[in-house]
Amino acid sequence: MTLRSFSRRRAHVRRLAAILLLACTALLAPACGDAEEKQTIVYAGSAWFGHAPAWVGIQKGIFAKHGFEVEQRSFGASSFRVNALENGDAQFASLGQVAMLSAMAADRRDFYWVGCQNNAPGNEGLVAVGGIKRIEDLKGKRIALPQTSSAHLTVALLLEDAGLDITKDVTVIPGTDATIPDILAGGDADAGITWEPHYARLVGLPDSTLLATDEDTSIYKQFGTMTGPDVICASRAWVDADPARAKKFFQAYWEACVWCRDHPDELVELVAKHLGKTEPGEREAVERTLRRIQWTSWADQADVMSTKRMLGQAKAAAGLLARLGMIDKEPSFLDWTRLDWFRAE
Amino acid sequence: MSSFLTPLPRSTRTWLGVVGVLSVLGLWTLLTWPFFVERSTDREAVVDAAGEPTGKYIETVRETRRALVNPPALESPMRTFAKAAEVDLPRHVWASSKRILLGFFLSILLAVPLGVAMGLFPRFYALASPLISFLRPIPSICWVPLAVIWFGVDLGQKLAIIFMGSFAATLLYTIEATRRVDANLLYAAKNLGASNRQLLWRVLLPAALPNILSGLKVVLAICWTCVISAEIVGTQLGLGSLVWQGMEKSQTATVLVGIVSIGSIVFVMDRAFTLIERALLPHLHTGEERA
Repeated sequence: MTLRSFSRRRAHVRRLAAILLLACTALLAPACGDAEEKQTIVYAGSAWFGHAPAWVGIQKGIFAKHGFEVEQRSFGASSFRVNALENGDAQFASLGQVAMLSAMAADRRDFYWVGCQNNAPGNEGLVAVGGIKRIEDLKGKRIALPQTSSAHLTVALLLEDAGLDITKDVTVIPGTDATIPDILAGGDADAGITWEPHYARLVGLPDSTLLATDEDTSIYKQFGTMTGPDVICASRAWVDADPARAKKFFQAYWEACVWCRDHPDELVELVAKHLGKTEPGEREAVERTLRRIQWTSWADQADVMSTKRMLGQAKAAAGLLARLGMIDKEPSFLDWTRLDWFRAE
Repeated sequence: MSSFLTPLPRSTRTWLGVVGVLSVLGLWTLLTWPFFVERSTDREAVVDAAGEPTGKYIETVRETRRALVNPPALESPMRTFAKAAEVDLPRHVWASSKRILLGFFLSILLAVPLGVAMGLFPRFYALASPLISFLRPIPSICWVPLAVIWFGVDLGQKLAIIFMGSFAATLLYTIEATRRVDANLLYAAKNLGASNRQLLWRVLLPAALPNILSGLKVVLAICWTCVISAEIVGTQLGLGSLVWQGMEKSQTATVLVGIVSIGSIVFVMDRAFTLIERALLPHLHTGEERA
C-alpha cells in the first residue's frame, strides 16, 4: 500500500466515522429532547377492553380538562406493568388482580392498589371438546390454560366444586391467552379456558361444549365478581410525592369510567376504532364483550373496595393462590390500598 | 506485539477463567449485600371489629437492611441458589437439554449439507440468499403462534422453534466456511486427478470443517436463546418454562435460576464441543497444547 493510498483510506474512514456520528446524534436527539419535555402521566395498558377508560380519558379530553396530560404505553403482561410502576416507567396501570397479588406476595411495596374500574364476569369460560359434557368428566384429562392467571383460578375453583383437584386430577397444559383456542383445535388438550377476545374463538370451536364460566365459581356466587378482576394500581413514589394531585387524577380517571357506563354505543365505536376492529364481525364481538362489562364510579369505590366485594374476593383469591403454590404466602393486601381516599368522603 | 498473539498456557487460561467467574459472583454478592440500614415507612390497614377496613392506616417507621441493588431488581446469589434447590432443577435442565440438542442436530442435519451446496454453487446461493436474509433476523418468539397451529404444543412445536431460530445461522456459517476454503487446494487436488466425490469428501469438507465447527459452537448457544420462546406454551418443565413461571409469579430468584442455569449449561456444552473439536482436528491444536 502506498503512502498516498493509505492517507486516502484514512480520510475515507474519518469521513465515514463523521457520518456515523451525525446519524447517531440525529437518532438520539429526539430521545434527549423527550427528557426535557413536561412530564406526562404514563398509563401502562394493553389491548384488553378493561383499559377503555384510559383511552376514553385521553381521546375525550377528560384528563386534559382536569389539567393532566396522559399517554398510554403498552406492556403485554400484567407483571410487566407492575415492574413499570415500580421503576417509574408508568404512573398508573390496570392489571389482572392475580399479577398484583403475586407481586404483593413477593413483598414488592412500591405500588398502591387504588381500586377496581370494572367487573366483567362472563368473559372467561371453560370449554371442552371430544364429547366431554361435564366438569366431573375432566378427571385425567388435559386442560390448557394461561398459568398464574384469573383463568387458572377459575378452573381450580370449578374443579374443586366438582370434587377434583387441579394439582392431582388433571394435567395442566400451559399456554398464553391467545394460543389456548389453537391448542384445543390441534387436539393437544381436552379442555381449555381463556378470556375475551380469545374466548369467543374457544366457544366457536367445532363440537365444543361450554362447561362453565367464571360466573359459576364460588367466588362469583359469594362476591358477585370475576375470579381475577381488573385492578387499578399506581406508582407509590408518584402518589406519595403529591397525594392530593394523585387523588384528583384518579377522580378524573373514574369520570372516564362513568363516561364508559353512560355512553355504551359511543364506547363501542371508540374501542373498535382504537383496536382497529371495525369490520362488521369484529365490531359485534367488541360490542358483545363491552356489554358484559360493568363500569364503576369513584363514588362506588367505597362499596367496591369492601369485604363484601373486591376485598373479600381478593382474600379468597389470595388464599387459593397460596394453596395452589402459585405464591409463597398470602399477602396482607390491605396495606397496599388507599381506602382513605374513599372512606373519607 | 508478540505478547498479544502468544497463546497462554492452559493452566493460566483456566485460572483466568476462574478469576473471571469469581469476579462476577463477587460483584453480584457485593451489589446485593445488605450493607446499609434504611428507614422506610410501613403501612398497616386498620380494620374494625367486623374485619372491615376503616380507611385508616397505622404508619410505622421500620429500619431495614438494604443493599446497593435490592429485590425485585436483583436477588442475592444465596437466595438464588436456595431457590435452585427448591425448584427441582435437574428435571428442568434435562427437559430443556433434550429439546435443545434435538433441535440443534435437526438444524445441522438440514443446514450443513445445504450450506455446503450453497457455498459450492454460486447460482444456488444467489437463488436462496434473499430467503436466508429474510429468515435470519426473525426472533424465535415470532414463530410461537404458527408453531402451535402447525405442530401443537408437544415436542414438535419446541423443535420447530429451536430449528427456525438456529437454521439460518447454521446455514450462513457453513456457506462462509465452504467459501473460505483455499481454491488452490481444490485446483491442486483436481490436477492430481481427484474425482468430484474425492474433492468433496477428501479436500473441501476437511478444509471447511474447522470453520463449520466454530460456527456450530455459536449456533449451539443460539439454540439455548430459543429455549425461552420454545417453552412459553405446553410445558411446565424446562428452564424456559421456569423463567416464564418466575416472571408470572414476580419471583426474580426463579428467573435468575433459569438465567444462571442456561449460562452454565452453555458454558459446559461449549467446553464439550471444544473437546470434540480437538478430537476431530488434532492438527489444529498441537501448537496450543505445547503452549
